[in-house]
Parts: sequence; C-alpha cells; structure tokens
Amino acid sequence: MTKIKRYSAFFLAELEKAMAYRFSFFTSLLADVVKTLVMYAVWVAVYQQRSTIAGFSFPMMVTYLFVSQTISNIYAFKNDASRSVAHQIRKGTIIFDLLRPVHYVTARLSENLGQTMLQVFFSFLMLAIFGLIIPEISAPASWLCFFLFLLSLIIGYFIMFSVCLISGLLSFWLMNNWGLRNVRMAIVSFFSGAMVPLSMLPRWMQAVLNFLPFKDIIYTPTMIYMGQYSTGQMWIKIGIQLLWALIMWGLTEWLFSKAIRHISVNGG
Amino acid sequence: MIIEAQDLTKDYVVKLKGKGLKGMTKSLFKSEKKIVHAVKNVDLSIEEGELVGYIGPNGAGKSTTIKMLTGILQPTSGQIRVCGLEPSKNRVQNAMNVGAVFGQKTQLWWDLPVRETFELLKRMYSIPDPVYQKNLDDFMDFLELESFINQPVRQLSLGQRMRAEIAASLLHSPKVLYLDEPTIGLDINIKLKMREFIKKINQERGVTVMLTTHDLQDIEQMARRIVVINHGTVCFNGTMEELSEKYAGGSHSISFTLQTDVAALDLSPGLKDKVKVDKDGRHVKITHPQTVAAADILTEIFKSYSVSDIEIKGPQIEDVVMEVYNS
Repeated sequence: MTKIKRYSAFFLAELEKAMAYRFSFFTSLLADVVKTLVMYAVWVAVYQQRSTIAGFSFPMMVTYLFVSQTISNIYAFKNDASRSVAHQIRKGTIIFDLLRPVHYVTARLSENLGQTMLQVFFSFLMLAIFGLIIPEISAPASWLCFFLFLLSLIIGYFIMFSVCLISGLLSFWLMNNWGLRNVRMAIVSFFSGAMVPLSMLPRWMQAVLNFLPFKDIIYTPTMIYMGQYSTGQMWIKIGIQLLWALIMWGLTEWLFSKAIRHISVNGG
Repeated sequence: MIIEAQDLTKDYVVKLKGKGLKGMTKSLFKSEKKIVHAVKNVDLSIEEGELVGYIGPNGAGKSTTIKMLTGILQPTSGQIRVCGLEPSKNRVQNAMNVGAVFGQKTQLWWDLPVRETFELLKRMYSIPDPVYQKNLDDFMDFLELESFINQPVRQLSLGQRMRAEIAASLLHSPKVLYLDEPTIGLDINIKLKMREFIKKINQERGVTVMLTTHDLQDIEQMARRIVVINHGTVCFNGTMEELSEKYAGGSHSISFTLQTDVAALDLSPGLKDKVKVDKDGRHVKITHPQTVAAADILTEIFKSYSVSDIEIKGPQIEDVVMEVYNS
C-alpha cells in the first residue's frame, strides 16, 4: 500500500498539471475530433463507389474508424512517455528522478497514467456522443466483447507505453529524441492499425505484422470490440497481447539498467 | 563515518566532433573518442553532524562527486558508503537517507504551487503526518515561505525558489544533505538567510551537510572543514586555519604610505629574513607570516619614519584559495 501511495505522487502531479493546462488539453481534443471527422469524410467518398472493401462494409469501417481513433487518442502521441524522458535528459533534471526513493520505470508509468486519465474520460465521452449522432457507429458486439475490449485496451496501453519509453531511453545515447520519435510515430500509427484496418494490407505484410507487437496496440482491441473474433480466438489474441506486453516491459527494464550506467548529466 | 569514499574515480567518454561541415560529416561515421577523468582517486570521510565545504574551480569534479554520493552516477571505480549503504546499488534506500539541492536545477514541479510539491514529496517519501507538519511549520517560519507557498513555481523569483528548494530537500528529515551551489545568484539578504538556515539545521538537527560553492564567504561562515578538489583530485583537506598556514596567501600584510620616499627603507636583521618587503615610491607593503607579531613591524617603522597612512590585512581566503587552485 505504501508503495502504491509513493507512486501516486507522480500520477497526481501529472493529473494536476493537465488540469492546470485545460486550454491546451481541450484544443488538442478538438484537433483529434477534426482529424477523425476528416477521415470519416474520406471513407464516405470512398464507399460511394462500392459497398465493401476487404470485407469491411461502410458501417463496419465507420465503427472501426471511431473506435480505433478513440484508442489512438487515449495512448496518444501527446502523452508520449518518450517526451518526458528526453526532456529530463536534455535539461538534466533526470538527477532528481534518480534521487527519489522510487523505481524509475514505474515512476514514469505512474506519471503517464496521470497524463492519460483525462484523455481516457474525454475520448470515451466523444465516442459516446458520436455514437448517438452517427448511426453507422455500432455498440460493442456483446457484453463479453465489451469487457474483453477493455482488457485488451489496457494491455495495449502497456505495450504502447513500453514502445514509447524504449524510444525515450534511447536518447540516453542519442541525446536527442526528435528524429527517432518521428520514425516511431510513423511506424506505430501505420502498423498498429490506426490509419486503416490491417486486413486491408497485402497478405505478406500482414504476415510480417503478426510477428510484431504494434498490431496489439490498436487493431486487436478494435477488432474485439467489433466482434470479429470467436470467443476462443479472442482469448488467444489477448494471451498474445499479454506476452508482448511482458516482453516489451522486460526490454524496457533491461534498457534502463543499461542506460543508467551510461548517464552523463549535462551542465553543472 | 556517515559518508565514506575510497579511491573514487569517474571517467567520461567524450566524442569529439570534427571542425566545420567536412569534419562534422566525417564524425557522423567515425568519431574520435577521448576519455576525461572527472574524478580521480578521491578519498573522503565525513563524520555524522559535520558541515564540510567542498570547493574547487569550475569543472574540477565537485558536482560529479556529489552525484556519485547521491547514487545518481555510477563510479567507474572505487568504493562509496553513505549511512552504510552503497548509493548506486541501493539507490532507492539511499534516497530515503539523503536530500539534495542543485542550485542550477529545480526539483519542484514547475507548473504546480509550492505547497503541492511538498504534499507530493510527502507521499513519495511516505513522511508521517506529525513529522511532515513539524518540518513544514519550522521551514515556513524560518524561511518565510508563507507569502508564496500557494504560487506556481514558475512564478517565483530565484530567491523564493531556492528557499522552497531547500525546504523540499529536508521534508523527509534526511540524515545527509548535499548542497551543490545553493547560494548561486542570490542577493546578500537571502544568502545570509540561507547560511543561517543551513547552520541551524546542521546544529539543531545534526544533519550532515556537504556543500559546494564558489562563494568563499559561504565557506568562511559555515564550514568547519574544507576539502579542495582540483583536476579531479583532492589537494587539501582540513580546517580553514590549516589552509591559511599551509599557503602563503594566508599570510598577514601591513601596507604603509610614508611621507618620504622609501627606497632606502631597511629593517633590522632579525626581522628582515622573516618578511617580504615590496617597495613602490612612498608605498611599502610588508607581508609576514603569523609567527611574526605585527606590533614588532609597526614599532620598527614608526621609530624611523613618519607614516601618513596604514592598512593591516589578515589572511584573504580568496588569495589562499586562488593559490591552491593554481598550484
């Protein structure tokens, strides 16, 4: 209990910061909405010519779009863990994080959860509102699908967090995070299924993606929401996700233990 | 011993970038590396309750040493024990025993009010309520935090922020406090306040303090012992008095302005060998070690010359330290 309380300090600090910067929070929320609506308009135009694409009917595609965008906004590129790590390294304030009686990676997770909280609430609120306005957006396929979707979403969050933190920790060596972050964002947004359903990609590419963790960040939870898998398949998918989450977490810890030996503090 | 270091060494690998566009392009593919010895074979031992000044020129290795003692940096080689723990191996436990202020950086949450940072630190260090309340009351009172405790840190002046920093570093009642340039950029009033506060917590709470600074007044007014580091190695370890004795800059001097030209000035044989005489027109400066009484010199000069002005100086810490740095 005292341990959780210890880490809650990081969670609360970030939550309070997010509240202190309400304006920036809501403008970025608005940007997310606009982006989703633009993509919606594109799909409307595309589906005027045909009724299905790669097995996706228009209503399915719209549901996929809004659900995947909701997830993508939750572990958003805004509360990207690599940013805070890179910032700490550049400014040298990382010394204070290493001075505290906490484990560094866990502290970053608590911090990130604090940054994500408001985002979770408002992203789901937006999804519910759009669900009422746009008739093509369907509810979760069943209660089971809904609960497994939530579970899958949480595991996906851990994978996303690890991917971000790994790229952040690499700035211990590179001293700059910007280029790497852009590359990572491009890879993640395409390979996770945030842009188009992965089943639309060529077969060989899908085969490759099956051996990577990115699909489990957005594609897997969204497909579970839409009831695209049988019950057995859903559990298998979640098992694979869990495995990836553990692998990525282990990788993060390993990289941190290497990084801490490499640390050099800038200035003074 | 509460802090003990033996043979402490830290090397950095620095990548050298080539000159100009051509050199830069070359270093993209192959860069030359250079090893910098930031700290070399440093031995330190500090007893519980001591207040030690750790001084040295810029880049001497002061901050690097402090960062190794806090467990932030891992030493390349050598042993450290702080409260019986090896800091870099037991970083988390060690963190509970130590507090630190780095004058050039802030440990407060930039966007949150000071009080909120304190509350968060209370959580992070699991500080029991009564301890937290007592510490907060003490610090609020002495450091006069009341007027700005509810303001976000980004709106504070440097003087306000540094007072909040030192309070933050002591909330969990650490046994050891590291202060890395805590008075940098502060005005004289706040500086005095900080010095008083540091002395107070050292004396009343028995907190062991290790202090680095470039302001030698800090050292003179607070530290009982000084350790001087230069080029990564310790070159002096002892009291202020011992430092003055060891280095010539620590000698006393008397300057006279005479009414006549002093070219012919000569002292009695017994005195002449022990002092240094600099003559310039009507001015003469006699530098003497502590073993020679100023009164003897004065008597002798007054006997033979009419003096229009006189200035007596004790050892100048700046001179002493400059000499140590340059030696």
